[in-house]
Amino acid sequence: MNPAQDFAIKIIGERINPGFKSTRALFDNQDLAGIQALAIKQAEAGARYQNVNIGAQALTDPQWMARVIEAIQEVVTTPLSFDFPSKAVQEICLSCYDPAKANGELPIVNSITEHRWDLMELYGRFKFKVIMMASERVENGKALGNKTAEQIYSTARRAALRLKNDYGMPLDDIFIDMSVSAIIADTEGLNRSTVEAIQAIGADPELKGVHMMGGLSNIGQQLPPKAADGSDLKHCLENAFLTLTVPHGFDYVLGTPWRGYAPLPEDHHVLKTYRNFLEQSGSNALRAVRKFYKA
Amino acid sequence: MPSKRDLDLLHVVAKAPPPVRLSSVRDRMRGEALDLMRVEKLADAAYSYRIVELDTPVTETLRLTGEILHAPWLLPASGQLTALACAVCTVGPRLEARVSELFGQKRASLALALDGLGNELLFAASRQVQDRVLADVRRRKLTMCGELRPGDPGLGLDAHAAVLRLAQADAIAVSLRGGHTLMPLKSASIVMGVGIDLPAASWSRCDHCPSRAKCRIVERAEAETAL
Repeated sequence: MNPAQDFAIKIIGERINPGFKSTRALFDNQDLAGIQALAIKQAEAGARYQNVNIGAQALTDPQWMARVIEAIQEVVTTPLSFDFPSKAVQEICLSCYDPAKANGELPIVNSITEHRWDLMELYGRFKFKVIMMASERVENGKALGNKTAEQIYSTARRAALRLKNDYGMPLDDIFIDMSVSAIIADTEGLNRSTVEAIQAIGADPELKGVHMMGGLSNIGQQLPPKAADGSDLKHCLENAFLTLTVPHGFDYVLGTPWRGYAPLPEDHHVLKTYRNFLEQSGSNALRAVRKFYKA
Repeated sequence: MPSKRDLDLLHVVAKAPPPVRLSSVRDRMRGEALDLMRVEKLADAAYSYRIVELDTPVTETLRLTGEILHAPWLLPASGQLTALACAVCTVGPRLEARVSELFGQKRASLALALDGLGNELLFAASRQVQDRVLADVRRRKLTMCGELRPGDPGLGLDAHAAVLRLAQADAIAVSLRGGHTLMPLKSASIVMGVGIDLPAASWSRCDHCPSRAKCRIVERAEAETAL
């Protein structure tokens, strides 16, 4: 249950989220003990933080959300990450959170974007770390999706320095969410952009200290379970992504703590195929995807 | 002594996919059985548990409040075993009575579907009581390691009576019939090690099960864990 991560990465446990079938039942039944048990399992499996997402109920029943946070803190000392886009909800979460029960560690607000910056109005009244999504930027007052490495990198840089300079937030408290998209339909080179943006952020001396993170579960979506060499395709793809990005500073995964990640050797089929895929665009990218599972 | 009756587990089971893939006929029968359970209120799930301190010194023969359990597997490789959590859960007597009745009426398919649902309910009750024990243990700043049930390798069936007494099974009307059978039949008892800095168990009660390699429940649980 506690696989050592072979990468220099830490895990933000993602299981307290009704998006997981088994967790949804706990929320549907308001099963606090079940949620506590899940938090304990994630902590015991080495989660550095635990992400808390209670879905739409957060808006309709803030009291329930407060009970969830208090219940989790009753049984684990892992600091929490609050996964809600609403300022009102974040305010309740931060009010409920007791740093003393997490060995003095700050919670994480998950997440802000350049377009959704209002959550930072809570900074000062509350101390917290923040996850900043680099996948969108604001231009002429409009939110636009980032597609190129340059756009992702510039957004991340601008936001991180704004947090540092305008709010006095230590770079160590900033987590840049590098969205990792599914390769199955990635004809626009989004994976390549993400990998290159990670390299650029990691190489920027002014950003030294920021963390880079992301969820990896999208990357292998809708692919067959086995790669052409018989390996677990989804898991190997996640490891391939990490093999390429951890050396450049990608250091947190929003994931399942007991999943276990390890670098792939250079000659591993999935890593070689992923490298090839990253060089392709358009229909060539789709053809490259087939090579993961077709001999 | 924490105990709880009237656990509302039916909708948990109803929402969850069946533990194994069912043919369309069996799936339909499961749906009928669910309806029957709802209409006739056949589920009466309950649990009871206690965390009981061990007498010292702790040896392979564990002594606690006058009871003796021979459970050497629960002795940890490190840390300090200080207590046992003993739990019992049940889905109540009405379900099995109805299953018998259906067999008597020669409605075997529905009877089997209802019996299968009873197993699912018992799994859900078992998981719920274990979650509660784990949370309770952690609130006491203790850790938990190892799970055995009487009859498993590592804990004889003759331990059943002591485990039920320790879990105060009478609070939820679970008792032992001759031959170590629990009444109601759809009941289960559990023993878990509790203590200070206990390591994760390196064994599972399923390790020696002859069906493990082809067990579809284990296979599905592992697949879900990997997601």
